[in-house]
Amino acid sequence: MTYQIVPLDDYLLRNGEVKTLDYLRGYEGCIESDQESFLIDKAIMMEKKNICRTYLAVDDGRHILGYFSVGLRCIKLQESDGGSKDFSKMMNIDPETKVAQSYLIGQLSRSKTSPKGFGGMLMADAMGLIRTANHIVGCRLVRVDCDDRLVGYYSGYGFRKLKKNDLGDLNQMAYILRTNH
Amino acid sequence: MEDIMATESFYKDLILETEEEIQSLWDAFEEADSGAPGMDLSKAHKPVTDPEELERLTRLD
Repeated sequence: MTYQIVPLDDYLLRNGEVKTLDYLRGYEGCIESDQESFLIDKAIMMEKKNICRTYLAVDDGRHILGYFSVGLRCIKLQESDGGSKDFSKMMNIDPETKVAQSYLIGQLSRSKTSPKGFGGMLMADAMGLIRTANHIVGCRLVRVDCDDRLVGYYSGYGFRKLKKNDLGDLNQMAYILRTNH
Repeated sequence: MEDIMATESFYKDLILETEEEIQSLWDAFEEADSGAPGMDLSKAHKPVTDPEELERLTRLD
């Protein structure tokens, strides 16, 4: 399947906010959810505030086939065992604050017109970008949050469930990037 | 099924509070370092960097 990954930031630079937003309004996710509202209501704002970066998968006709957003979040270990020497080194945890960093795939959506399995291709694209970031700045931990229906889906990619979020509606999952050394 | 994730994630850090939660993360690291294969990224697309292609794709006129 032929498509290209284009940073949302490049649309904004070339076209400005109004035209870019009009373009994003044409997107239809394959499942009705808050995906479309993220793209329309939040993606540009979060891009401008440097909270995350959104990437569009577009075909030659410039139709949006899907998108994903990646960012950084902290992870904090409150239990005292999290301060063990080995674990602290492995996680690059500050021994005093017990805070480490993680990459976050915060959005991932394919369009109604994309083929089944396209979400997996987008996942690989998102992880490929994170792998590049890992080569530049390090950090091996990647997070996704998902509802119960998707735990098996992300487990199939090697994510491991860590816990439920405070509201109990999302599973917080982690993937550890492989390293050559 | 791969379409639902939480926007709220971008605003919240992850806090692991119990031994069980921390053990799960520890296990994830051990699995990754045990030689278990990781995700296949060999076909991952990189963002477009060619200026002409970027201009063609992002032109919304």
